[in-house]
Amino acid sequence: MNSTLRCLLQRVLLIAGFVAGTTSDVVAQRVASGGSFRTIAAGRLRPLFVAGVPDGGVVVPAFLLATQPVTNADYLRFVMANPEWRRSRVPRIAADSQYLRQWLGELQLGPDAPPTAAVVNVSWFAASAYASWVGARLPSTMEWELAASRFRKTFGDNPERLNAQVLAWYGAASDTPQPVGRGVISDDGIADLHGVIWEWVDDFNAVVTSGESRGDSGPDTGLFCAGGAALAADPSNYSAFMRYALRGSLRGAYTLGTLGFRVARDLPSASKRSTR
Amino acid sequence: MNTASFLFNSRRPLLMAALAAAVGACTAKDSSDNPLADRPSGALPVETLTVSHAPAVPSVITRRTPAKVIINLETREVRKRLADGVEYTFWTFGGSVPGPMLRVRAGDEVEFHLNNHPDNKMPHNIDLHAVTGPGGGAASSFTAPGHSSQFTFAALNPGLYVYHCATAPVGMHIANGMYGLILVEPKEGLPKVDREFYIFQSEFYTAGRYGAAGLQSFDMEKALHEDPDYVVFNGSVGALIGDHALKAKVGETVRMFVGNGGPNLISSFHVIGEIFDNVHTEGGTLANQHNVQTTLVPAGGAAFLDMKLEAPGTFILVDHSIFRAFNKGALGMLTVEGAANPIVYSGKENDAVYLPEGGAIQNIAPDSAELVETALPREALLARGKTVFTANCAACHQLAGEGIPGAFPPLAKSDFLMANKERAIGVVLNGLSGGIVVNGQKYNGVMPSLALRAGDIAAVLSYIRMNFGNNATDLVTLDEVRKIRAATAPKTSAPPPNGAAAAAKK
Repeated sequence: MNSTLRCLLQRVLLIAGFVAGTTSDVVAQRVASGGSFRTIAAGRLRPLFVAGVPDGGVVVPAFLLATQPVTNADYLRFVMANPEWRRSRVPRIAADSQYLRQWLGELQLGPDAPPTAAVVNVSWFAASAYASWVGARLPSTMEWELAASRFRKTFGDNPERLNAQVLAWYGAASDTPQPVGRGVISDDGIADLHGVIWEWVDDFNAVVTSGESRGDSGPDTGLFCAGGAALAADPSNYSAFMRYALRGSLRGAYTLGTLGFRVARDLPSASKRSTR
Repeated sequence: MNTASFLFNSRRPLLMAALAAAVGACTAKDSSDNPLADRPSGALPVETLTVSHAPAVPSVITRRTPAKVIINLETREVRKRLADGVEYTFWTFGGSVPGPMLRVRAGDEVEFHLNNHPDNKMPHNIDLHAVTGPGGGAASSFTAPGHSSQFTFAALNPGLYVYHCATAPVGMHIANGMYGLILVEPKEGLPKVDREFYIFQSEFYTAGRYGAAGLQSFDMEKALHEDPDYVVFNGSVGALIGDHALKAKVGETVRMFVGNGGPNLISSFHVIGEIFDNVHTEGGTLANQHNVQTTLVPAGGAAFLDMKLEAPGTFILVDHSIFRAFNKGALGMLTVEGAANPIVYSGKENDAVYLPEGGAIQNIAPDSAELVETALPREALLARGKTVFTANCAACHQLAGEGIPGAFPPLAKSDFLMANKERAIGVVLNGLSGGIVVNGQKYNGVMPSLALRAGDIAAVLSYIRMNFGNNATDLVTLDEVRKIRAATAPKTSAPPPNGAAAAAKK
């Protein structure tokens, strides 16, 4: 799907989400299901792919990030309030045929979808609509990567230990869904950034769809072979490579059994989102 | 190519095969100018490739016209055995390591479907070195879990090629098991052989050292330092050992398609006790060398070779970077059945004492070399036993007596060793060949007679039986060893009598 079409569809779906959420009753639910947030202080991030990035890295302004991924229970409330996001009604262009396949029924979670486990098999469009419904948004790649890099309290000054732990999860076969909130907590108090699910970000395909804006000299869009390392800031950051590769393999309607999301917000004082 | 040398290959007179190869090589050269020359104007006949797993090779292609070949390959992330007691989460093509061998004919149109199983965590793709095009197909096959990609290529260049996953970080996708071989047969086919085998070497980098039990995760630091814990054939320690050994018969010609996935190491592929008659170095269509002992297989490369089997026995496949074979798992077996030809190989004809200071080499009873041997006190006996063990036993049975799964049985906590003291003495005295079961695992190898003195045998058996988790309380005495030797020692001109040694072989 080209980016123009994607943006158009995104807007249509976001409007649909807003229309569905205009009663005061639903507004109250929005706040409840938005979960709790913590401030991620502004920071400097050296992204994996550095074309066009200044040497010192990118400054990511402060923002609010949900402490936990969205759960099946959270998402069920969203689907009940927004029938167009039920399995039977969602258009294929917004979510593929595997959408919410771990749920027992249209509005039933069942044994493969514990209420406290992260919701998976949701498309980018669905995740974006949910975020909008709770008055939030998806974090950007830069925001997510910044939040996911802060584990000094747990791992000290040894980023290899974090990398090894993340690799161990990536290297393990898919397991049964776990309740959210039990994994390693980041310095900012954010749970489950690593080791539970992959997470959607707002600009998930920024790297691999950058071909046209960077011209022929840009990175290989498929990140295949050693070509993926050619423009990387740190070719040994395997966990980041895997996240970027996974994001690059996705389209907005795709759903994966290991892919969920969490929501973010601008700080109340921030007038606009500044990282995109 | 020197056709004359091909025709007059003195090692075996398979003139027809050689002729076919020579002709094949010439025509392959001619047709490589336009590999699609024999494409018909209409639609190609369609066939779907039947997938077969290593060491099986897909059937020889008999058609002599191009076809459209449909290949379906599924990527799966599966937890499987890497060695006895050791598991690993492999990323695979087709659920196994290596992935299935693919076989098409030069000039074919290949419609490739890469299916990424929905339970997988990772996106995957495939780079087939047989493909002429960006990424060898990787650019067109990047596939999220639960999705499927399709692309089509023409098999332009005949040869044997590696395929592998090329998703970033590519080293980790290869290190976790994503590779296999694709053979693009020359249009005229390969010279006929009796059997074909598919062997693929690769290495694994695990958090725990070799043999550390349980589920092992990928160790990136070891991978960066190119320091693997495991170097294996066909995806696990022992995959080609014992019951899984390759099997053939005397008089047959066998071909081995050998791939090397790396991700880092180059293989020095060797079959102990055989000589490769023809080697296609680096997987090319030219049989460019005859009578080769060891051939290099580069990482991300392949070779294929053939040999006529003239002698029965077990022939060990190794990476002749030999510590990999001895200590990291790079061992396989080719078991050849049939009648021995004493002109080709006699077997052991004599065992004599060698006296370097002069005098004739004589056959003498080993006992006479030991007239001064006397029983040692317990501590001295065990200390001598440790020395004898380190010098004579540890190379195969390993320093901690743990053995090498599938090849050398353990002495540590060994039920076979502890069940019968006399049998154990007989084995060290006379060697052992044939199938045995140790701690529930089958072994079918050969232990030679080590020609140790009786005192050494008493010492080393006392030491082994009281160490490595074996809980003997009694020593093995010099008298016990002498008694068994008297009952079992082979005379120089007579077969060994039935005795403890025979019992040991049961």
